[in-house]
Amino acid sequence: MSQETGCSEYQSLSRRKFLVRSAQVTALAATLPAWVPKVAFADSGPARDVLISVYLRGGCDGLTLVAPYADDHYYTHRPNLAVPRPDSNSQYKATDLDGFFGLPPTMLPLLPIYQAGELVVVHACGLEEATRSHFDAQRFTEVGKANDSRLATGWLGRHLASIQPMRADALIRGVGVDFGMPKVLQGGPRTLPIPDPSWFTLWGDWQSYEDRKRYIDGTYRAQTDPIRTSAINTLQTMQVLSNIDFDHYQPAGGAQYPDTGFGKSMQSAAALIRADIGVEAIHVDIHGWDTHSEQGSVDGQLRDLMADLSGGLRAIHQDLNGANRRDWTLIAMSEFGRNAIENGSRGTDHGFGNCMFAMGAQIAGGQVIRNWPGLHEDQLVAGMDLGITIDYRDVIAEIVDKRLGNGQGLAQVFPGFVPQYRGVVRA
Amino acid sequence: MCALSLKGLTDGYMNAVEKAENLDASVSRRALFSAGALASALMVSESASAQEADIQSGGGNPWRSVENRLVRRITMGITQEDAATAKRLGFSAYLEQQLNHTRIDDSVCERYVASRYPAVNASIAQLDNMDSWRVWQQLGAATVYRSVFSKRQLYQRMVEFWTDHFNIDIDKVGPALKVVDDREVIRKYALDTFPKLLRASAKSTAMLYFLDNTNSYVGHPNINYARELEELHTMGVNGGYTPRDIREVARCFTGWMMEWDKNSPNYGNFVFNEWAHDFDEKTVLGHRIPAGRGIQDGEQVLEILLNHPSTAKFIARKMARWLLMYEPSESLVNSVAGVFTRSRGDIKAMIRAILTRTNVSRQPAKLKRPYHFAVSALRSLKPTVRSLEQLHDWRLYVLGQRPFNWSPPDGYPDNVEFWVGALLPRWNFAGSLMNDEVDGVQVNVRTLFSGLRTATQVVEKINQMLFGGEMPTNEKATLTTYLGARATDPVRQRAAIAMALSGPGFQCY
Repeated sequence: MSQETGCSEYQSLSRRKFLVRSAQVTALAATLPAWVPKVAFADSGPARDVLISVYLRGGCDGLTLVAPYADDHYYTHRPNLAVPRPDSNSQYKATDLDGFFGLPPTMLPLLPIYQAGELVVVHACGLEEATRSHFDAQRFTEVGKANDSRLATGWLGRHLASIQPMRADALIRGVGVDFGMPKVLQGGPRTLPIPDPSWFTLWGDWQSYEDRKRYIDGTYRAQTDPIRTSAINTLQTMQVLSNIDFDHYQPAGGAQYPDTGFGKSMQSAAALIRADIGVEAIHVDIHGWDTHSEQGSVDGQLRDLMADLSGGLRAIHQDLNGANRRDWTLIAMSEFGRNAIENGSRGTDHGFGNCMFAMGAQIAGGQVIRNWPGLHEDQLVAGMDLGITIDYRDVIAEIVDKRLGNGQGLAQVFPGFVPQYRGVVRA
Repeated sequence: MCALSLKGLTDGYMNAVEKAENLDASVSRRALFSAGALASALMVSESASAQEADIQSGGGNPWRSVENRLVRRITMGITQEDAATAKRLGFSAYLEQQLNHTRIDDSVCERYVASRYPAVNASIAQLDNMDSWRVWQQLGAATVYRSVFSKRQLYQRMVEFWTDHFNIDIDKVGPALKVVDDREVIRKYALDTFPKLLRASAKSTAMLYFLDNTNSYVGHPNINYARELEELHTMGVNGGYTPRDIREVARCFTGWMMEWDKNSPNYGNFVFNEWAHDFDEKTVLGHRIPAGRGIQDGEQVLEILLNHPSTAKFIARKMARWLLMYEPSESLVNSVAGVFTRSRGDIKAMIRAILTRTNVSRQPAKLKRPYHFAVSALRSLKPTVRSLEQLHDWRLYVLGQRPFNWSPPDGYPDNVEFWVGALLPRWNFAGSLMNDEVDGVQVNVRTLFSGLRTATQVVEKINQMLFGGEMPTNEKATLTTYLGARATDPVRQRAAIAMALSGPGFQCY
């Protein structure tokens, strides 16, 4: 078992002996474990980034996450919920980003990444189709097109489907860190929902392990899609992941993931990237942003949600950087923003324009990209919402083109949409 | 065999990629022929429109007996006894028996639940004094127990359906309120009428708290409940309401709250707080709600919504999807919506209109959801159950469908595309169950296979238990080969059941 220490990045990981045996029994070339040196893999085409896609389910309040403190009307509309100005005496005051926007206290873990130029905020951004339904807005943004019933797959799935695998021998290319397949990844080849990679092995009696696997393989191969492909992908991915000891994963760079579902998912994402098995798209959901009541700016529901989000993003940034991985880009977005005008329950209702985030070594960070429409009541959409001056697809398309190497596939990723690049990626 | 196709995963992209990745481009066609032993085996279609046509024509259902198809649709999983009963009674009589659920004696099941999981019958005041983790566990375990052991199987299926329709995340509202909602709303009216369900749900403190209506005051209406009431509970997202309608509905429901005062005999229950209500005039969907009234405002809104044609269609489509097929035809939806309107939302009448012999004989297969899968395994195998706590707390969590744990208000999805990628948790449940790793649940292989000597006999027993006698031919053959000359070896027998549970045939219904 001399390969056990083959890859320096994975010295801390040890394998389970029984899985080694099972891998030997099947002796598939496809089961090359994670510690085989990189040179053993065939790269197909120029280097490109792994994409980590984070979705804030419920419609996050972008006016708190990245607060436009220099727009006076912010404080008019948000008497109870606004983040105090950076020059105020409040212990909960915003920390300035660029003279106009500021981060509330529990978003501060992101500040060093912003200052290091690896985190960009895009504001007054989003889905231009006016819907205030979570489920429509999520579907439209994940499909990448609104109101098109012929298009049922997700933009990230179609990205994977319209480009050669990053590594020709990759058995698993897309992962939804979830119990089912998120819409955004649907249609992706070699893509599976994997809620926790450390579980990804066949449980039960070991004497019959190979027999059960063979039965599953044989019976599902006689099926049609999608269940056939799902089973084949699962069996192959099992071979890859069960050779990696995720239970003893060691974050690099001193990263400490939040002890939450999201923190755990971000750690799983990092582990999948560092395992170097050819995964090139990972999607993670973070729930709970539908803050109709008691959202707070500094002391309500949003406090913990933002701490979870920023803590998770900070940890994965430290972890991957600490492991000398610079070949990844992360985006974080939500289905819509919330009303600029707070409601009577110290919360906010479903709105329109929002902020989104992109993070990575090649991201043109340290700025808040926007064409600010203003918060004066005459400037609000429907009298209550931040407008949208940047389509969310502008941001994603630029990354798909410049970081994921799929400029040619954009017509499939976002059919019928002509993006306008906003300088999210370094020139 | 198991024609779980859908537009999203069978469109051109997948084909393009398979070619690009040098996979065998002809695999799907070969698969068609290898599955051809089944008379009703599916046709693989390349385009979305052809796929729909295929589904409409009833292709892709491996189950031949129309009685067995009905059993699969109205139970949590077919058993040998169900299949025999349906065969003996015939299609219509079996359906009627399940529809008249109160005439089915379920006292054995309910006595067990009452003694083992007292929380589900406790008052809100009693629940408030219990450890909430135990309340949560008892509610969940009781739900599983009833799904598995209740003789009122159609009723349990409809409880599952309405639980998703009126979804409440137990992590937000806490288990005590959900216990009351489950008992006084969902289970009370699951096979009664939709209007009764809706009216009860609108006064369920769990629902009002979940969707922030307990925070909705005159001058500061909270629109969360109003929106989901229209979008998810009644009219559907394209049902024809406007943002203004949502705000007006929210005003009508101001003051619909929960009694927070622990000293009140009404503690934890619904209360209409006049002081929080907006008494001014409102207009909802063109109807004038006059000024000066109180609780009648919200009650009138419910009647407006119940009488709206969009509601009839929305509920008809969703029920037909649940009971029959993912994409029911417009003509079926319209006819069931007509029944909804004429019968004033009688759920049984709608079920009769959906589950006609003709419709069931043409239905395509559906993919079991993970909960359905796990429960159906237990129903088929009749294990000795000493406790369901680990199964509920951990196994269903890993499967991705622990009851009451879906956090958005739309309920666990009833579709292929979300669930079909998650096969490994099912294989693992099967493997763990048959390896005695599911605490408190023991499958008695010696009893099940007592007296059986040959592989053919053991597989036939599995066929009868798990598949109502319709186990897919290739799965049967593969299993027989596996058992071979060692059909009496309990290790092999256990593995054989795990395999049968893991195979594609057991995933669909």
